Amino acid sequence: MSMPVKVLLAQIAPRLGRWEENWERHREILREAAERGVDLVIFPELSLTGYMLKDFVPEVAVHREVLATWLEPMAGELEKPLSVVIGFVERSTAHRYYNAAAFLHLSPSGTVRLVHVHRKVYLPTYGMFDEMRYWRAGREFRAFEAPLLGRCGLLICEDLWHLTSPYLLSLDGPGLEGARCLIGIANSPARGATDLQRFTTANAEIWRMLNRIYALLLGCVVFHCQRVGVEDNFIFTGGSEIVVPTGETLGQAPLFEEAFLEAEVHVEDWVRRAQNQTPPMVLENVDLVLRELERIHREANEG
Amino acid sequence: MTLEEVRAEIPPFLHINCEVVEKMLTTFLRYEVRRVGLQRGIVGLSGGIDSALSAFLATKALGPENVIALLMPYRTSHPSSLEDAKRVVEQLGIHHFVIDITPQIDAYFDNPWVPREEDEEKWKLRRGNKMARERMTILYDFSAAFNGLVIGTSNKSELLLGYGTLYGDMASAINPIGDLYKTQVRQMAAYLGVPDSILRKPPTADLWVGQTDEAQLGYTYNEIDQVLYHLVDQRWSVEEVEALGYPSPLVRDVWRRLQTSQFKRHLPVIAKISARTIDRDFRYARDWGY
Repeated sequence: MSMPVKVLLAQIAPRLGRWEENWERHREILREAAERGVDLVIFPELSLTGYMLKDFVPEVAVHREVLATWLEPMAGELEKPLSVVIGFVERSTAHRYYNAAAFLHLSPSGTVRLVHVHRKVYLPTYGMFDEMRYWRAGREFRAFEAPLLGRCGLLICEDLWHLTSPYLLSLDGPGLEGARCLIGIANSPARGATDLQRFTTANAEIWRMLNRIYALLLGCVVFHCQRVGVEDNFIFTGGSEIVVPTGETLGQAPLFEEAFLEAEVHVEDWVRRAQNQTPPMVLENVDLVLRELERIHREANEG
Repeated sequence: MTLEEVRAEIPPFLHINCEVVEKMLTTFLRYEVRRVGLQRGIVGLSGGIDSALSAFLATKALGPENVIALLMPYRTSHPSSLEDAKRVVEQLGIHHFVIDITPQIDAYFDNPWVPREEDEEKWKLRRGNKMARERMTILYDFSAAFNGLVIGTSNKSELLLGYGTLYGDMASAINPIGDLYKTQVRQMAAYLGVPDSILRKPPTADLWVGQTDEAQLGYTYNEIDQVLYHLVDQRWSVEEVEALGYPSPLVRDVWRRLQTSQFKRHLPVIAKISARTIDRDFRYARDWGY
């Protein structure tokens, strides 16, 4: 057995625009998690600010470096290292705004390392969503080395509705060995309560499918953290879960209610077992994909 | 009527998962009432199915001690309306007040300066609208008096058809049932155990003697909801919906009502002058400040 990583998914209901309140809540949750020996706490998309910000975006935006500064006093109180994923509004040096997620690592020495920041690439602007009006789109998918977990990918909500995002992350590493852990954070408003068979909504059902498909096809562990609560007429879904490469779930949070999903995840073992059975991605021909994409791209532009 | 009996009347594409919808709507009510620092909901109970459902949901979400029902009959209201509203109150164990609006309605229309009406239909409509708005003012006064939010009782079918009184029964602080078609309201009502007498009677605004919605609209809600579902939810064209076999006059009438009632689903339009105009480029969620 490999060393387990103790992970906590914090399925919370952030207060809209109540930045200080949300920050206080984050700190409380982190403190309690640290006391229980948790290694990694994952918060949902825009966990510091809430979702439906609209014209309020500039008021709650911060430079990414600030997050580490804020966490430093807490790091000094820790007995062992603690990692955290936070959803926030990032202000760039040119004062542009991104829907972003930060992976930070707190050391008991009192230092906080900003391990990785992902800026949401795919900004839904259709139906009930209006994101391109308020955010700039991120331009990168990059895997990164995370303490205890190994190579990780971090994606935000709509990013996960594009096959290519987790695909690229799963290849982004030395020798095409990319992310083995996929961290997805989201704010999914519930919709579609028409199915009589299942205790779920249409969107929650699709998330469940996506998590399983990525775990199975890419051979990775999926950590999926949703928010709950209500903003205007959006009722956020919840249903956070951890899915391993066999497609099994290590735990699932309820719909619509705040919940803390904690699990000890033997990442190394799950990845190894997957490779020993039906090895995902082992036959992947990146040269072919690239050639075909170039051709498709060329032909589309010629057309 | 059981949920199964109600569902048997309705095509499967209008069926809803009542368990999930109950969870969603009680979550919605709880968050939206408490967000503004309040605990209570105020519901105008007409004796009909829509307000009964809103009261049931509010009670589930906030607890019976936090729901206040206002029963506001006029002298021509059908006696069974008040009886059915009282059944809801008793079943839920919620607070209630009976307020007869006859004196204030009659006092208004007895004024010599109130314009008379030759057209009988229009006269009935004017009187009905006045009653709906009178009830609204009472609900909002109780909202202030008891520190509660007015819980809406308009369903998706009537909101889309514009079959309601602007600033009257359409007014509320939060509306849990506005995205449920009438046929879906019926499913939720059956699921939550709304009294049978309410489920079985024909829908009526009860604004004049003998009025029923379906006679006034010219079609049943079952027919209307099927057409609305395709036009609104599925975004099919009028021609495509006609091709499904729905009668052309029904489809075209529903489409025309949808278009011409848009004003009822908006706040008053503000002429743009400045760089930042309310509802155009001054954009915040309603819950922004709470």
